[in-house]
Amino acid sequence: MHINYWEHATTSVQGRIGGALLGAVLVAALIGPIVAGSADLPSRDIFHPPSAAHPLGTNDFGQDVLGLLLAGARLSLTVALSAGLLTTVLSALVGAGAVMTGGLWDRVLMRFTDVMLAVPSVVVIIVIAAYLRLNPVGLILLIALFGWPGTARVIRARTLTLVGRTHVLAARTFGAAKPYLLYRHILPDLVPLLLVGFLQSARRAVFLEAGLAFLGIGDPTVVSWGIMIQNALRFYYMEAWVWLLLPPALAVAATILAFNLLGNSIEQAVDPRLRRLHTKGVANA
Amino acid sequence: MSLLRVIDLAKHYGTGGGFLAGGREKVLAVDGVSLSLARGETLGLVGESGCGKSTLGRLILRLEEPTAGKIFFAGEEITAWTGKRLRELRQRVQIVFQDSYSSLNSRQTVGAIIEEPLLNFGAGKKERQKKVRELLATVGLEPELVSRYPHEFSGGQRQRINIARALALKPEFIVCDEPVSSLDVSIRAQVLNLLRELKKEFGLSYLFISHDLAAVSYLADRVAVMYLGKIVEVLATRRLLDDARHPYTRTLLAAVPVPDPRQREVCQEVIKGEPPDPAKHPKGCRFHPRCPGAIDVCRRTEPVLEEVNEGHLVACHLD
Repeated sequence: MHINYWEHATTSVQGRIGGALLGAVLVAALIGPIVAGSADLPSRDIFHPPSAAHPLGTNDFGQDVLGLLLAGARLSLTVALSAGLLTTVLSALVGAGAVMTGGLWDRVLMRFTDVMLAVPSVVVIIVIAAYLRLNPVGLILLIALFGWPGTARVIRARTLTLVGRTHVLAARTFGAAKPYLLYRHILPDLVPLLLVGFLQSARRAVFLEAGLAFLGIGDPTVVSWGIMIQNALRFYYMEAWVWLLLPPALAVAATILAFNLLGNSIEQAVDPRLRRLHTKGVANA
Repeated sequence: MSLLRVIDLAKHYGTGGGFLAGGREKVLAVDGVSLSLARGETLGLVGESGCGKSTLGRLILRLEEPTAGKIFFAGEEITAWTGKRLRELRQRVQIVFQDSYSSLNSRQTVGAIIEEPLLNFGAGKKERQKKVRELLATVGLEPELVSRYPHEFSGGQRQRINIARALALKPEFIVCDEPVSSLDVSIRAQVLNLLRELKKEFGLSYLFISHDLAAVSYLADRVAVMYLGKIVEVLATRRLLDDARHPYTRTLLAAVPVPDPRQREVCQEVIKGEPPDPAKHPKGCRFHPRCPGAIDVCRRTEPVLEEVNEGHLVACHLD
């Protein structure tokens, strides 16, 4: 019988912690702007320590740190989820498409994938982002453009084993066309793999978005955790660094951790070897 | 007129490697097989594991591309059919696989599985549902089982589901690729009987692939014996016991368990050696390293399939 991935993800410790963390960030991103109002308005009240009016204090422009943090969650998650989704779709199209078209196309697509894998993507993304002065949408496209090759390879390998399965052969004998075959008999078995790929690319996107903003390459008009961290570091000699640096740094860490834990829990469900280690660990503890 | 005719069909693996593969050995899974099958006939195809039986079945179904040779179905050459014509052929030629579980998609209900061929050829929803129930009844399963999943069934029941699915498009010809090999002995007879009844009811023709001579002789009108990608003997099933001439056929016959212990001393000819590696073909007759009566000529030249009696073909120098 097939493994219930959802059940595994929701019952494993990693899956639960990851889900809770991601849920918290998601809620923050959704309701944040409603609760905090427009946070990026400057005020005269600068470097105000945490108080009732400003739970996380204010920064050098007198902006409310909590408000910025919530607005940053919105950008971070938007980039993570869209870039993750786009990357996954691209990798599925290339990976599964290579197998289904076969022959020359397979070889061309996979050699192109190899070339893309050889490109040091972070460096290239930094250069392109700096050169083009990208807005968040451009950033999402850029991350997806360099994120798909790894997953595409894994998906191709899996699809290759799936098309050889007897029930797929059987489906061919009663006249199923390739798109139908892919959608009906192959895609359902790729779902856990796609999910893991999605979570990995999303995690990468969070890191890249914050990292680029930290380097000052992001869109300066959009509130980002990376910009907040960079800004906070300018005041490390003041007491204010505690409430300026810790919130965005912890937020980035928590979001990346959330995607990581969720990805791990699903990977364990997919790979029986990992699952055994996992359950053994639980039994020993 | 023959329904299916195969001429010099061959399938070699490992030939299309890249330039680095250089002198890779070819696996001659099927190597120049010719046979024919009349409408309404059941042809048994027997041989050891790895002799190319299943590959031959898949070639006929056009699931794999042959390296050489021609396939004729109902008088038309289908070797190079693609696209729309191939889809039309799919309605007339079907297959039942050995592994009853893996040949069903475990995420689909039985109803969805049997319905799928009908869906592919654009039957309406009402019609499909009616047909699925009919088919289940035909193969001896309760029509109420449509919403169950494959893992809820026994091996024999699953094979019945496979047969129902193969019948959905009203084919003329079904390749049975070891349909009972993975079944419990007690269930085998049931499934064999079902296949026999369906043949009568729908006027089907079978290519019945098996390594089990007993099962084949129960169902088949003629038997073709395959060894290392070649047909070595073809004859009528009823003459199998008395007239089989090829040493390989005789050893296969000797390997069939005899129920009566008093008759057991008859089977003296037990096969020697291991099943050969299809990538390393012996020179001359392919069977000579294991043949009890091999003579000099067997090591040098390959025997040709020749008619020794009416409808009885043998490829052996000893005749």
